[in-house]
Amino acid sequence: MTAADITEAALGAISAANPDLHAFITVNTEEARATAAAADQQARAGQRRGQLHGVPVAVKDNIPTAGLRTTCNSRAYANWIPAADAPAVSRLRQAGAIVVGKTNLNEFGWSVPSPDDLAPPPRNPWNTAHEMVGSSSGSAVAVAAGLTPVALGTDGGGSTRLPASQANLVGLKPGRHAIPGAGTPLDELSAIGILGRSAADVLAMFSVLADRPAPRWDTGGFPLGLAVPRRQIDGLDIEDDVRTAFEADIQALTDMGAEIAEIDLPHLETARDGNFVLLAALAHATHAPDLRLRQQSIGVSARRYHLAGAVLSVEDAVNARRIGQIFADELDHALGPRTGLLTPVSTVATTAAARRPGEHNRGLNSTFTSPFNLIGWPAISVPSRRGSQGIPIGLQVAARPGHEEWLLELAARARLWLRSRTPDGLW
Amino acid sequence: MNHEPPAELTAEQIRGILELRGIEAPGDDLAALPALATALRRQAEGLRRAAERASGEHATQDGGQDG
Repeated sequence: MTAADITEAALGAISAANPDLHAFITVNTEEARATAAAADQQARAGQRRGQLHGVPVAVKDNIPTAGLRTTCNSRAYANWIPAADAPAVSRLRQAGAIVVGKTNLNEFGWSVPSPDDLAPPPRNPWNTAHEMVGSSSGSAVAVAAGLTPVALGTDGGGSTRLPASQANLVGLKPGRHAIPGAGTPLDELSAIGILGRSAADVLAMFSVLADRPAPRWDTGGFPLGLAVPRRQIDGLDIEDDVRTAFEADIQALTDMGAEIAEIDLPHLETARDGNFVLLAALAHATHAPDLRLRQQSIGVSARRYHLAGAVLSVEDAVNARRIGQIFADELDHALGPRTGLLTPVSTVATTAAARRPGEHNRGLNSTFTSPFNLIGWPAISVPSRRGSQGIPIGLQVAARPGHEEWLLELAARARLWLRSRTPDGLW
Repeated sequence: MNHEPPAELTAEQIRGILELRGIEAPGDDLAALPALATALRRQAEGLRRAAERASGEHATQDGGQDG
């Protein structure tokens, strides 16, 4: 099979599915075809560009791509054509990947979809009656629906892991600075994330993006030092479907041979609030020029979220960072010799629940994901089970900095084990 | 120390804060902003209190040393 064959298959699938799923805002048809043809020519000459030679990838539409419009799903950026790729995109292209399009998102990756966004919200292919949670919603839909094997997202509070969880995908938020974020509009809390159908696919992408060689996974003796924040899991308002799935996963991992300690993280929720407050302050500061000059070109939800950040101060931002340090110290101490922390990905199973008024605007559905943005540790969503409404529910594992490959190997092993332990008919 | 949650910000207060930053918000947005902005302020106050508590604990542990 040639790169051209694979690219045509991806473009055909996008063309067929996108009118219903809204995964892509822009499809890069002509350039993708030309790049694939060039890749095949190189292959015939005995040259391969890299380990992603001919692999179609989707890129979230807040990551700049040279010559290809990057809208952030905002009418304010409907015609922005960046002059240069973000470094992460450059690395993918240098490794031979073919960018087939730009994926849908909550406007600017912040807020909830509104009717005056540039593109309507993506639907979840597992149950198209539901919207996909954001903000890397289009990337999750693209991979879950089989339109591309992998996709780039971004993650400032869970925006890669949350949709990965709802789409039965592996979703990795690397640690701070593991993948270069320069050249993107990302703030210090956000990382470029990777979504794929398998941990091996995500590892191949991460290896290229982080410029770190992929380790072999057949070495044996994989360490399973894990912990659960038991008091927080028991005390938080978590939907029944999510709680049931999580406890079943813990039991399955224990049966697999993992020793899972129970620890206490009293500042978990405060760290969530710290991340949310800092994101709100950064969003306001970043978008203040647009709010002054072309406010009506921004959708109503993003506009109001950006305006609200005006009531925050430098002192608030300093306090948020202090909470991050407190939480990082607390987690480091509580984990002790262990490497990873297990939690649900989200407190709720459906997008409608995640977007409840009075809760979404405080980041409550990101209680388990956003603390790791605040402290910059890597975390991953591992496919696990399916809830009562047909929407998948993932398991989150967070780890000490520098352990992205460990997370991916754990995801690969846990995935096999959890699948083998899942009752017949659930999947 | 006042541990009461901050009172709800009014649309007029938010208009004033935005004007200081050179931003003019339409009336519909101003009507919706008190709920969003007050929620943020309450989260920020929670952070302040948590940071103060942690500082107090550290001061006790360190004997209040400088540095």
